[in-house]
Amino acid sequence: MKILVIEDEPKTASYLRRGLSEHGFVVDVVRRGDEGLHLAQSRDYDAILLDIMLPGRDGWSILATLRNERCPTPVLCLTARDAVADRVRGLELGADDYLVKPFAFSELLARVRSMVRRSGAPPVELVRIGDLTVDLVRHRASRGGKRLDLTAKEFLLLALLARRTGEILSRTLIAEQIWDMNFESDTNVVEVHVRRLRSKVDDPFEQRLLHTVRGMGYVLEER
Amino acid sequence: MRSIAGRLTVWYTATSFSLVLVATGLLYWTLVQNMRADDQRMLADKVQVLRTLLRERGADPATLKEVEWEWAAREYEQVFVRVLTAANTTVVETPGMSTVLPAQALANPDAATSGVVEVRGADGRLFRTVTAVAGEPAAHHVIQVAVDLTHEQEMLAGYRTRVWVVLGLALGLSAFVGHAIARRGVRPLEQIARTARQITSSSLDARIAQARLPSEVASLATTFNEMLARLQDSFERLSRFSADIAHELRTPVSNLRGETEVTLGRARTPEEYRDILSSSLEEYERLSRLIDSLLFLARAEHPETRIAREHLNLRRELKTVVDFYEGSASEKGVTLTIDVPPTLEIDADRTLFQRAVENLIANALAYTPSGGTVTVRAIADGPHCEIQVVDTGRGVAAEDLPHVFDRFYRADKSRASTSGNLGLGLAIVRSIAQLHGGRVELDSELGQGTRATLILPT
Repeated sequence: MKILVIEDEPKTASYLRRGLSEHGFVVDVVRRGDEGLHLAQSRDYDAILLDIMLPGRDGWSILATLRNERCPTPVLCLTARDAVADRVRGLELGADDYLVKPFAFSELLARVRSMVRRSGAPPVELVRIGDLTVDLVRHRASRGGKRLDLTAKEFLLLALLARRTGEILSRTLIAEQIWDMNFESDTNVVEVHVRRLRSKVDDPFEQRLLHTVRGMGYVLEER
Repeated sequence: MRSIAGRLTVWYTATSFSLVLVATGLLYWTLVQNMRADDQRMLADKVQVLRTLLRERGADPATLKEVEWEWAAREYEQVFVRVLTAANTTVVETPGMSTVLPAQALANPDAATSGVVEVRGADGRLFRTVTAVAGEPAAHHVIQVAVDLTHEQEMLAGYRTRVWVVLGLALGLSAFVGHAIARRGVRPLEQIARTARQITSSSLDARIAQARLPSEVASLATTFNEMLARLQDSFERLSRFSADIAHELRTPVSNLRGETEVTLGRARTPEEYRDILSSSLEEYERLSRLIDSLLFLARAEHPETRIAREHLNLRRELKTVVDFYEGSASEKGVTLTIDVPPTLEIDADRTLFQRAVENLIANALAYTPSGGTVTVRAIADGPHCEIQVVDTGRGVAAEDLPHVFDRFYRADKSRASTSGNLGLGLAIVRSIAQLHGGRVELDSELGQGTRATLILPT
């Protein structure tokens, strides 16, 4: 998976490179807009992370040029400007997603993965993590051969974590995906729901699968 | 002319000068009329005397001379008299009259009724004359009397000169007085302007002294003072708000800095590093949330902010939030119930609406102890719709109630920095309500519970 990062702020560029590489992406970073456009046009990337305020050429113009040339690479805009008009403009110009600084890296990672997935990969029907089986079609989950008794929301949460096993999912993303709450929630409400799910999925068993990553979110994986 | 004082001066001057002008003109005219009437009466009188003489004594030149001499002796208003026969031969006349006023110069008695005519004599003097017929129509005499107007003319000329002087003085005086009055009239305005000029952001406490202002200007001054008070209030709130922001930022930043410095002070185990970094991450999150909330509030205040309204089923939307909080509530031992008719609908921005309700429910849960209840209700009320979040919590003290919607206001100061409570929740709810053209109210009784009511147009 190759990702092009067009970002002029050195610290941001550096942690994006490191973070994305550590999660298995091949990352090219450029600091100037014109160079970024050149690379995007001449090489093949799976996704582009695009800052808006750039030297050389701004993000809007790069995005417009790429979309004019019918370049299908998904683009995620990163910017400190979050006026609704800016968001709308980005999406109108053909951005696939929009993240406002400061953002959580886990959030970025989740979005990049979902962008890359969107453009390819067939839907998963059954996920196995250790002795846990999640049947995404029949809405059933079992562990060690024992059927788990979950409420509808609990199953949705487990399914989300299972489908993205190994990925840290932020509270915001979970609130958005499961409860359709589209904003940064001030509370630890998600924590409560995860705890309840854990009491059914993990607590009766020896091996823990649903982990809390402090300050970041939750991940379902075998460790 | 742009200046009020200038305009007032012109008007005052014009008005008072016109009055003086009209009065003087009227007096002059009356004087002239009176003089003419006097002359007329005198001339008529003389004609009458001559007629009587002619009738009683006939055209006796000696008698006539006597009369004529008597009149001609007058120093002023010299009078000329001439008596002619019907054939226009002079019977008698004041000596020298024929050189100044020949008989032909005067009006023909046949043509003229005995009116008074002004005639200029051969020497340039102006005379007021009358020509009359006396005696039997068969043998009548013609009487001509003329009175010299030179003296009268001189007197009027003198009078006119004085009138012009008086008018000039009146013009000057009324301009001067008018200007003084106008200055006096606009002085309170200048005083207001002076105060206004001195006001800067640091002297917003200045006020215009109203005690001695006239009532018209006093209302302006009151309005101005009220505006100043509002400005001062907003300004103070703004600067307090900036100070609050700085303070709110200072705590997490200082935590981050301190923790990082201590950590770097010596080598640590990977676990310790992980722990510190995680703790930092929590602070970052807090900072991000703070910035988001502040930006949201700032943007909501901008008059051009638009919201994306959509048609929402109230029950479904409220149920979403209640479901989200159900876990937290039951874990806390609080019953969270919803009582909303399934048919209620509302036009609102979905994300903002959720956010407002979420804040109200989170607040209610935070202040309700175990065993209490939180109820979410909705009632249609004409063009509005009331969403109530009622709790049986510990309530808000009466002295805190007016401030709960202020930014960074926390009734419980000690909870401030530890609970993750930014003190912006209710301010955000209010902004959201206002963006929708609605409002939010809070009723509470200490120890009894709180009812938050979100009133939105449907």
